[in-house]
Amino acid sequence: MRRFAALGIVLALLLPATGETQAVVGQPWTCSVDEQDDSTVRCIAAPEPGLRLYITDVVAQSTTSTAGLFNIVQGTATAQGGGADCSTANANMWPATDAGARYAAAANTSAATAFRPSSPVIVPTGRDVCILGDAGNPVTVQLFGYSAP
Amino acid sequence: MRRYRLRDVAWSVLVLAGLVYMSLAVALKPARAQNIAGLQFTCAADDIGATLTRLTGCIAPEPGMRRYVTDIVAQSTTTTSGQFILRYGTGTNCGTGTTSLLPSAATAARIASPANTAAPTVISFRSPLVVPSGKDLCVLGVATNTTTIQVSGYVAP
Repeated sequence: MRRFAALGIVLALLLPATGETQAVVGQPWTCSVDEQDDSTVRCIAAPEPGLRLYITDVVAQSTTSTAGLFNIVQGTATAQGGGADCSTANANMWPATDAGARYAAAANTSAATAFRPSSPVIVPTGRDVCILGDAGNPVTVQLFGYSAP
Repeated sequence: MRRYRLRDVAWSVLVLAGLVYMSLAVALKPARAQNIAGLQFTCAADDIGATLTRLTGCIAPEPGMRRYVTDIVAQSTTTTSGQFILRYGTGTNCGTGTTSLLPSAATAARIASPANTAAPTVISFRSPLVVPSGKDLCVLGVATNTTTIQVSGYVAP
């Protein structure tokens, strides 16, 4: 009994340190779009059924010396339900407003826009992730994250 | 008999306390990418113009291992900003199988290296940038307003 108890205590003390090395849960992914104007283009397709995309990092920059704007959009594409580049069930996701592109992609003379939300942005299951950019000052955007249930 | 039971209770309490501690530690610890699971590295390149150049020290690690980039700091070497792109490949200065890493959709320098009178571009990733196994890491800047860049991370399978 005493040995089991001692083992339990040792495990209890060790496990938190082990858990600390778990950076992300699930399969990591990254996607990017370049010179994106005010149309919406797919960055990454929805993962297999039952999995969702989680966005952990966003890096954005205007391709000109003037800041551009962008928005992260979710929707479905041809493979999932008609339309392309999130054109079906299209919804602004980040920011989740009905307006157009809102976040600044810093001018290419300024430090890059870099988001690292403490809580990952969760994409609804079955949805692709797209980027809406800026006509006058197209943006380059790279997203990072993982897919998990 | 009574003393034996008390000892059992004491041990049970200790085990329970340990389990509670473990659960709280795991539950309350935020998922973080900066926990280093492998060997740390840092590489740099200075005064990088419009020529793809391997970062000093960023040759491919041993077979089966990959570089995970967690942090990037970039600055122009002049009072005017420049831009850069990270690419990987093999051969001299990533000249073979050259592929873009950040931004991966571009082939030209896109990310700003701000003027050396402004704060640098600092990017810390929650999900690290992964350089494929067997590939060197290189940077391409722009002419005149060249880039100095430091890349940090860890090496792991």
